[in-house]
Amino acid sequence: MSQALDTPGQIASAISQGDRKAEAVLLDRYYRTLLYILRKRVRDEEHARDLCQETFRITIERLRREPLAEPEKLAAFLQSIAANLSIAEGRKRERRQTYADSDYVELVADTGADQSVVLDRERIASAVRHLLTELDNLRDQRILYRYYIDELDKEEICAELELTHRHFDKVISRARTRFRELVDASGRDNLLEPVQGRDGHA
Amino acid sequence: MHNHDTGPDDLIDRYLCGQLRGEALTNFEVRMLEEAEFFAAVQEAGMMREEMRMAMESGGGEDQPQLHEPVVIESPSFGMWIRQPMSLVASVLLGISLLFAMIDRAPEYPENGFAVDSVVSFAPVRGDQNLVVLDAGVHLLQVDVGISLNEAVYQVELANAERSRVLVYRLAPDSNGIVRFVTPDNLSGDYVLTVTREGSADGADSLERYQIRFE
Repeated sequence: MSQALDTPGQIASAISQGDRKAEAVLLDRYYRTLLYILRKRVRDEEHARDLCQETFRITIERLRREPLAEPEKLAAFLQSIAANLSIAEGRKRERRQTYADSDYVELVADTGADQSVVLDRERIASAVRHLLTELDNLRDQRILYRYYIDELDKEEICAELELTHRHFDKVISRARTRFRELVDASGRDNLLEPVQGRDGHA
Repeated sequence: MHNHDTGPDDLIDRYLCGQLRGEALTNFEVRMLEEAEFFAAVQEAGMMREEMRMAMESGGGEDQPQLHEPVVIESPSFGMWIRQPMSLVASVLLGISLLFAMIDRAPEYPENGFAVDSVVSFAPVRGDQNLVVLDAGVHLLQVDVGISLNEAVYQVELANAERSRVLVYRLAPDSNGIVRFVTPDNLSGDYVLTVTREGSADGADSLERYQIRFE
């Protein structure tokens, strides 16, 4: 009898009961996010993918062997394993090539560029270009540059540019809001108007 | 380094900058795993940061956005005002605002010493790139109208596009040819600033206008 696999607790419990479909649901639900987290931690694509695969293998083996005390905290369990793996020193990496029970892990790991991410990036790049063309205040440009590129602290930026905190917050908030509007608009309408330079060319 | 936590956006920025540690980082990562929308917001913010970095660092390429140059000139040089012909009627004046009637709270005194949010200077600029963007606070606007041999008086008008709000003042410049004007608080939208010299010998009023956007 199949059971619902909507909540983390249901997924974890199903895997513990030997439901192979639940293992696929586990990867569908968490693989991409966990890979993102590990990329951020280890800053190496290949290493991140290795750690991600190992995280899911450890998780699946653990769930098969013994149910979680708190199945609803499946995400926290995944995160703790991934974190420990990423910070472990002198870890010996072994790929369990013979682990045939969950070929889905290998299948997901071999997936090429996520097409939705590629499309999102194009929309975001377009939105950023439009956002920057709308910035005709030199000081606002400088604020964004210092914040997003140089990653300076708000206090440092305000001191350097002689700004009030309120002004700084307004500029950053306005940029974020306008950016989201542009991204949403490009998603609905599929296209933003091409950005034009001063000579009128896009 | 960012040290402010004023909302989820700031927390996301701190994560993307690698400034979250320990329990804060753990909680953040768990939240990304549990909330698909939150993860999407983090991804989007990360891509925005990357694209903005690429756009700003590459700056000046043919495919990069061409940014308008601001028209604010902080302090006109001696040579600049002395070169202004006396017959140049097209100068921009700013007058003293209706501030006392509009302010109902104690003013703040930021570091510039004025009870205003900023001090903005204008000078005659050729070209059509004359939009100035200000926040909806109190601003001291000062305009170089040039030193006149005669005691000139200037009419300053600050009006919105619908002309539903029009502020008009008659002002005299100081000894350096600077006219000052304090904007009311909470102006919003697009305004046109025009200055006219009163009593021109030939009666002609040549205007030079500035576009101001209060946000």
